[in-house]
Amino acid sequence: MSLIDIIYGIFFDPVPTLKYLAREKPLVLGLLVYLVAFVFNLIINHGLTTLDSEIAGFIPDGNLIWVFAGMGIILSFFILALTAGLFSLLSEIFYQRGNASGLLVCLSFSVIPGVLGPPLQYGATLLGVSWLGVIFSLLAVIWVVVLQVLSLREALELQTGQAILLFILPGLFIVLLLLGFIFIIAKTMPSFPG
Amino acid sequence: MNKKLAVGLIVAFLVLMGVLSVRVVNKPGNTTSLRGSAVVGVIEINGVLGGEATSLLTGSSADSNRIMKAIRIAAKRPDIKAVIVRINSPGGTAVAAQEIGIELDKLRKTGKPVVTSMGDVCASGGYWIACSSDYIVANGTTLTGSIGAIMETTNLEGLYDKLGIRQEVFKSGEHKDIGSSAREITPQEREILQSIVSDSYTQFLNQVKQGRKGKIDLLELENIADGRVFTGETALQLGLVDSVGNYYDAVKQAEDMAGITEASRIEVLNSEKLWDSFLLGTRASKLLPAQNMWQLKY
Repeated sequence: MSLIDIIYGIFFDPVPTLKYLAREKPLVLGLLVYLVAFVFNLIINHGLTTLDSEIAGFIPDGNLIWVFAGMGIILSFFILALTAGLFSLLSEIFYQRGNASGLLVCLSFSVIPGVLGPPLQYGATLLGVSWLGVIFSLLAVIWVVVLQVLSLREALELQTGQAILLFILPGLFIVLLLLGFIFIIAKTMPSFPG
Repeated sequence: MNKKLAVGLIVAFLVLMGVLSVRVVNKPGNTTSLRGSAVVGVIEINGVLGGEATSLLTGSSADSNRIMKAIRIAAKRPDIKAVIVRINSPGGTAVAAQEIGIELDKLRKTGKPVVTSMGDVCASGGYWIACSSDYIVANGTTLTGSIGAIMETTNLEGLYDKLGIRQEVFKSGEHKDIGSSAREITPQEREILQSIVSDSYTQFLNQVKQGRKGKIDLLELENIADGRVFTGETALQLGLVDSVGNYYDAVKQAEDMAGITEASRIEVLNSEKLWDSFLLGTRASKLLPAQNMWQLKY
């Protein structure tokens, strides 16, 4: 599959495309696409905040933007790798199936539809219908989430239910951890006097 | 649909939006927003007025050079129809206040209305600058006024004696070391310095008289211009300001004065750059006052 076939497939025929990516693992291409998507989103989002007159005075100036951008790129790659590794590990523990590098490639490509969100929001803001832009952005986020679940399903050869459960498991774990933490603090802290 | 065509259309859309975004970021004046092309420029004056910016260690400072640059940009850019000067300053050096005031006067001559919006404090040199605007909006509890000039020197003679330090001075004239911290000031020197302060005070009074012409009672001004501060409400009653309101009231006032009827865009013209905060090393000497350093302050 060429890059055009992969991009087209991610948009219009995701399941076989993700299956192909999980099997062939074009890692360098996947990371490059992820980098381009990240930088593009950064540029559009900077434009969006500049357009917003209410917050224009509070956005960091040129140099600071690029320091944040550099840190953001490094951090996002780190999080991407961590996510792929964590999901693969959890899948091995619960379902005895792992494919970290395949999943990393699938997750990298699954951000592609998310690239559409900020430009659509930007276009809507230019046309003075920013509320529509927010809906576009939300839809793009949902699209990416669906693709990420499909990535888990195809890369780790799971059933849809198993993939959804795996996807929400880390978040669920963090929520339970926080609740437990709050419960412990509430129990151990002395109550306020009268 | 043809795969290449579909992907091509998506990429073309993304590139178009990317180009528009880069354009609006790089040239905010050439706005690509369809919400309105008129810009209300905002010039922020925060901290003690001075001729150069200070670093993180020395606290905030209003650099007159940068502020003047922003005023000149506001004068040159055709899309900027009105200017807000947002002042949150207790004053500073007399020269810094005068320089900024002169530049604002030039800006007003271009026909662009200048409205001052006072923050927590807009006193002394800050008020001097405000007098170079067409309209002044203060908050009810803003501290303003403090019309007057001050110059301070410190006599460290006793301390030097205790430390065994004796300054040797070689001077070309009698008053070349005027204000020296190593000795008591002479009556003649006191007279010279006082005349400088009095002259600066007269200049300040003239600035207020000119800036508030027809809005303030001149006799009343002589009574209240003794360095005291007022709240925004009292300043309104005295004619030192034109109305009581917040920043957005000032923006509305500027739009009305400029005849802007469509939605305008607010743009801060002198927001701080990252590297300004990093210039700690080169400005470390500012942490200590220079010897014999005395300045005329508003």
